[in-house]
Amino acid sequence: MKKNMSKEFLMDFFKDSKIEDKNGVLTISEVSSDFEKFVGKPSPYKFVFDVETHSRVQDSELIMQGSYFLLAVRDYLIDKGQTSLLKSGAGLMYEFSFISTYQYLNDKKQAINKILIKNGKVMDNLSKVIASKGDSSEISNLDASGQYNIAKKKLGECTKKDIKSIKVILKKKLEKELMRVRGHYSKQIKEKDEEVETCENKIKMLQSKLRHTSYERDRNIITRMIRESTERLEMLKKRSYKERLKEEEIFHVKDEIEKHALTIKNSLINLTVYY
Amino acid sequence: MKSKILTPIEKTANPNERIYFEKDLKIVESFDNEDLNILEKVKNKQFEPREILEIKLKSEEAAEQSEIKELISYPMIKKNLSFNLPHQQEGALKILRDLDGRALLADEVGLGKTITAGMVLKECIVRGLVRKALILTPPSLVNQWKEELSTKFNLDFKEINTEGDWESAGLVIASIDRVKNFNTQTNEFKHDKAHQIYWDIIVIDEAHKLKDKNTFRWKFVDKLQKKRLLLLTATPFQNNLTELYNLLSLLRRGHLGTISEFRSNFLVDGNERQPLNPRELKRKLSEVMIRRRRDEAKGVKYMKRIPRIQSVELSFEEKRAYEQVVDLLFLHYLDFNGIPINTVLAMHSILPKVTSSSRSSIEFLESLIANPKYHTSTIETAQDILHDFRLLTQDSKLQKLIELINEISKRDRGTKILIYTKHPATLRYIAEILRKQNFKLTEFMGGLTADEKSKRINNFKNETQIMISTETGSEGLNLQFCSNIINYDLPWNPMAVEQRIGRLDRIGQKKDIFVYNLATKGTMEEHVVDLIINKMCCIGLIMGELPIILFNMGLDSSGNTGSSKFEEKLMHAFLDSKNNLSRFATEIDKVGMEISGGIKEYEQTKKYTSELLDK
Repeated sequence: MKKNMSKEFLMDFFKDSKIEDKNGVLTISEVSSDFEKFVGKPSPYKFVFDVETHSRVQDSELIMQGSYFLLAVRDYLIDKGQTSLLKSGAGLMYEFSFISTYQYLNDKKQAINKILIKNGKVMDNLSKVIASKGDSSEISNLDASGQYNIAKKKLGECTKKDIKSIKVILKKKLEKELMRVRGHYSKQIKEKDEEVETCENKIKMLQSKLRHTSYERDRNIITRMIRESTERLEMLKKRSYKERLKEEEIFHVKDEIEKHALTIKNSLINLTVYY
Repeated sequence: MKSKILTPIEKTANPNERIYFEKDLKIVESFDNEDLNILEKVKNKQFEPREILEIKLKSEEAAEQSEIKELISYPMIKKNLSFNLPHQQEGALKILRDLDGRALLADEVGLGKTITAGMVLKECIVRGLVRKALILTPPSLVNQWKEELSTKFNLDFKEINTEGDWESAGLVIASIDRVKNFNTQTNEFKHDKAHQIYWDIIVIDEAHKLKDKNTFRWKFVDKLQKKRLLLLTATPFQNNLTELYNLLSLLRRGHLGTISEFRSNFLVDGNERQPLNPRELKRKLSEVMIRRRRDEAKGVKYMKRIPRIQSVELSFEEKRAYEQVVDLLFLHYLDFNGIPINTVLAMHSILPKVTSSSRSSIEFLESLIANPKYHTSTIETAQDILHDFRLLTQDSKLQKLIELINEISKRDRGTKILIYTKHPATLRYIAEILRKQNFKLTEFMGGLTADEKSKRINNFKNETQIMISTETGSEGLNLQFCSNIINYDLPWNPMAVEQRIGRLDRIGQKKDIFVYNLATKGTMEEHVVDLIINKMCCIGLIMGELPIILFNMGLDSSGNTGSSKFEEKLMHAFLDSKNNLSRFATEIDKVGMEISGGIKEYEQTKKYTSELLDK
């Protein structure tokens, strides 16, 4: 949402309040006490839309995409406007409006999908429906749970494309990170294996040397060297390094998988009944 | 949404949630439980005007937070920060945007790593990315962190004290020394519950202590499950490049290869400190590290601290009264049954009062006399001493204070002066006498409301020349407009002294800071003041460096009496000297030497770090 759109949105939202638009500052006063109570701040609100004006105007609220005040307005509206009734004369239909939020790494994306259902079937064309304000006394038996399950299914298809594009990004990143972790541990295991092998070869070589040495002093030195190498080898094997490293690898792989997880939260924000 | 490659492998308690994997990629998909309430509303024919939906859709669009291009939380905290330092915002943004929230923040001391980390935390929380956050700090910095997060970022972090505290952990902070304890009998960390939580972010302050991968400290951190990790230290390695390797292993396993690869690629044989291929090492580090120097950060300038010790010569009567109290504590401090009371604890709580002022000495003696838990001989001795105190006609320390205030005013007319004392009784006493001398002053102590605090600070800033304060209640104050501090009495804990000076020694201070200290001649006070002021707090270190040094030396945590280990060291030195001042001086010299060693080592570390990272 661009600067003008944020401003238009706020003017629209506060249309029942007093609005003054002067020198880059949108001042809103006489706001409903219900809203003032919700945001925990009494009006007037001075909205500015750039950092420069923000530093110039005391007590101003800097409005930019996703800023605190816009979040507060969204939260204020969360339990409002959840259901509507419209008369269209085209038979009983349910329009489900879903918001899907995709969260991954430090990013978030959202998509809004409207799904119209009539007689358990998804209708494609919404624009042709002409409707006026409905009267609840004219309708009966409004159980939408079956339609809701169909809408959920359809939503899965609608979000597929978004999810696919995010998955491409995530998979690429995750693959790189997992390659690092797995590569690191396989190299470590290899290094340890080599160390074991070197140690074993050394012992064999020393043992052969011992067999061909008769000089007492040399025999003592070689025996000591064999003992040290054997101890080292036992230590390497005793600590079962492979299991330990494997365990560590699993931990870090899991860490990366969690870090790169994609979370999709779907919420129904409105259900409109047409009759 | 069925697919052959989708494998649901994790069960969840929420029926509206499903978790599945596509190869290694984890996907968690859920529907809001609130949806059912909407269906129920329709069933009950509860409808609202359709126009609300339109504005609601627009609000969702306006509130949408996509990728991180700027800190949307900054306007919320800006008013709480004393200064707008661009490098802090840039750092936070880089950590989140470019480094995916896993970074080593290695800015030089004094650039505000805590603030940068706070910005990262706040941004993540506002964007809904973080619900579970853990901060691990040195013991002495837990409260400072809590306070900064609360006052500057409006974030309430709960302190972890016992193992049970982890159960409801959301935003929590803990001393790393406390939680790293390992039980060798059960072969488990005492605070193992921390390892069962999946943390959205973990921040570790003074992370250079994680240089050794064989320590419990390192292992404790390594075992924590975390999505984001911030390691803060100005000196990521000390003597050995392997320390840097160990630190980065916590951040990104294998980033510098295996240890053998690291050795062969980056270490000169026989020299653990010199990198073989510094350019390549720096390139690798830049992928996970942020490092800025003070001289390249805009708006960051620290002023000098100028120490001044003001010797106070006691009159014969004053000296005698003082010695009598010390004798009472050493020789006649008995409980009701005539058994000597634990001298360490007694000394610790009483001696500072005695050296603070005659008023606080009198208060102590009066409370002793009125307390039946003491032996009659102790009470009688106290009564005699109290009698002598009441006969005193002069207060040399207070007289010196008045002279000093006049001297400072003469040097710099109208300059602000902050007087610190540890004891409320002394504060009231000084205020009473100074008012009689027509000085305009503000009193600041614990128990004031936030409103009253701010009124008094404004009063000091705009109306009065002098403010007298106790430590309690003055934490976190910004008094950069004042450049003179007088320590009427001195805490034996250098961290507390740093906190006092820190009210003035902040970014934005325009003058050099005079640190005046009253020290009574012929008492242990003059030796302690010399050690803490001349050898620790005023030796050219930047604000924040002394705590690191004490932390490195293991002297910042609490000892057996609940006071800092450093304070206990001094107290034991005094007790061992049996009030023999030359012996006490020798002991203090030893402590001084030890501290000098710590400082030297730290300076070396800074040098090595700078050679590797800044050149």
